[in-house]
Amino acid sequence: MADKDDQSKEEERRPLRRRRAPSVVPDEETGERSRRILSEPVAEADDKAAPIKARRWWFRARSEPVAPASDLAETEARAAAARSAAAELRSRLKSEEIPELPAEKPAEPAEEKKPAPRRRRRTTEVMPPPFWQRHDLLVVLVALLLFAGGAAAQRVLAAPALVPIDELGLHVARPKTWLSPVRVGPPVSGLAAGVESSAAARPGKVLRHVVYQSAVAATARLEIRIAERPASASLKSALVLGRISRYGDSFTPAESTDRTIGGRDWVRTQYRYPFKSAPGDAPVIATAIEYATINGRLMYVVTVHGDEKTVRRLETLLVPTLKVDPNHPAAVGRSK
Amino acid sequence: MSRVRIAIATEVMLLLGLVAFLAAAFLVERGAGLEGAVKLGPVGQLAFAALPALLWLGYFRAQDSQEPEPRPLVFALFLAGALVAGPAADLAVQLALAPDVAAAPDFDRLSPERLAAAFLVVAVAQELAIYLVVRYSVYPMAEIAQPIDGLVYTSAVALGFAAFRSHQYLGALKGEVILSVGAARVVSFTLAHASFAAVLGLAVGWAKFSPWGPVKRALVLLGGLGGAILLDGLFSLAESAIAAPGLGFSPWRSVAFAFGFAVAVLIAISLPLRKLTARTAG
Repeated sequence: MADKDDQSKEEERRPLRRRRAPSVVPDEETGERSRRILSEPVAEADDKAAPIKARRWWFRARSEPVAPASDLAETEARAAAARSAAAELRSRLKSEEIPELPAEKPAEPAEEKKPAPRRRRRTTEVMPPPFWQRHDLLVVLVALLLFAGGAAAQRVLAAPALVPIDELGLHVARPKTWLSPVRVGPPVSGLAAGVESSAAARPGKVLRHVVYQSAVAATARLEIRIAERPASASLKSALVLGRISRYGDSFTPAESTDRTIGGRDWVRTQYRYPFKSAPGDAPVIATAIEYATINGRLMYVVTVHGDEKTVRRLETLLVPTLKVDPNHPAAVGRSK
Repeated sequence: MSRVRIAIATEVMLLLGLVAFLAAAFLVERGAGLEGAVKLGPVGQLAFAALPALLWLGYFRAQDSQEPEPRPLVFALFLAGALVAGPAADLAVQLALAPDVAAAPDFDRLSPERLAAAFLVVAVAQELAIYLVVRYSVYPMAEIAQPIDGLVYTSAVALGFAAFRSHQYLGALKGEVILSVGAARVVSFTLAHASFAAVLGLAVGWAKFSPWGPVKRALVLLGGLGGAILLDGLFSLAESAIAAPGLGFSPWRSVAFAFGFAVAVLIAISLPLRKLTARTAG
């Protein structure tokens, strides 16, 4: 009854099946041969409805896993053969004959020992989807990649443009959008308290002293000071004296360290000091990182100023561009 | 009254409620003769930031009598949006968009770096944070019994997120706020995030009840997230251009744009939402 119903369903379904276009590739390459071998046992049972039956079996395997009829018949035949073999063995033992090993007569039931029919893996044994599929991690992964790519693209697009500066053998870069340089005069106070502000500095002492200012942050600055080499003191002592003369005792120095940049040793010192961007402003604490070196007769001091984060950023950006020309006429003592 | 209608009605009520909130702030300012900024304490800032969203949640709860969502769950999702999604997205944006003192000031509204920041950094961080909260909290629960529930719960998270952003805005002003301007900003944030959440929530509901395999389901979620990101980026760019056309700032333009935007999104998603609900019910 059920088979009849299935057959009528098969006839109904058959027009819905898409007919495959004839292949121009040989059988082995298209895999049709292997498919044919796989469907052989089913084809023996029912030649005409082979694909439909396979499908019907698939449905049945999902609902109730019952062994196929061909399997049952085969099992019964094997049980009968085993029973007859046991009876034969008993009769031989009774007649006191030495029983032969069953392994020596494998050729006898050659027809019975047909290769076991291939069985398809049941669909009920399908593994659960992997972890990343169950939790839709693909969505998170794509979104994170998008975010990382966007952040990287934004950084590249917003990267500051730099302009090279060349001052008396000192090469350094500055941000392109910063304001024009402002010359800095000699300090008016500090240790030399009481000295008139109009008093000129010793001639020839400081050769260049300029400050480049950011257009958006008042404390962010790049200061370049080029002076004659200190005659009677070491570089570090001269730097300390210079800071004291500018800030008095209100700056807090950190330890100086030596760094090699572009094959030349520089003295790096970080300190903090009170800063007012305009005379009427309340002072804020600014941070500075100073790099200094000696080149022949000259002393170069390059300082970046700003708040803590700004200074770190400027140091990362500008300090790697520091370069010194040892053969510059001003450094070796020849006039241009 | 079907649940889709209830959801649409509550979205409309959200719009009207926000208009009422805005009008109340304006009238209080005019009635009390407040010329300048008003000082709001910490509690006042919290209430001011969260009021529009809480009104909406309360109204939805009152209307959704057929199959009411559990009130503690909706409120917990609102809090998750405010206390988890908001700070997480904010941290991610701050880390990704650290201001560079050496960079040139950018005055072009449609410069490539602004587009990258708006669409690929800020929008992705915000919508991803909301998605993560929804997907890994309420999505596997049986409380999402219909596609419309995806929209309801995603909206709850997004409104919490909007409350966080509003509070952040008021905090940046140190509590000194001109009532009408502050109300306009809060309303803009709420409307915008409710709109984005509608698209994301539709995808969440669709994916939950889709008969497809995990890959197709992930693609549906990805499509919803992508739509929300696109809307988020578009809104922030367009709103900044409309609200601050020159050096000045006019919050009313921003509110008007946010209303138009929210209505357009609401109309756009109502049709697929109805179809999806009918298909699931059928």
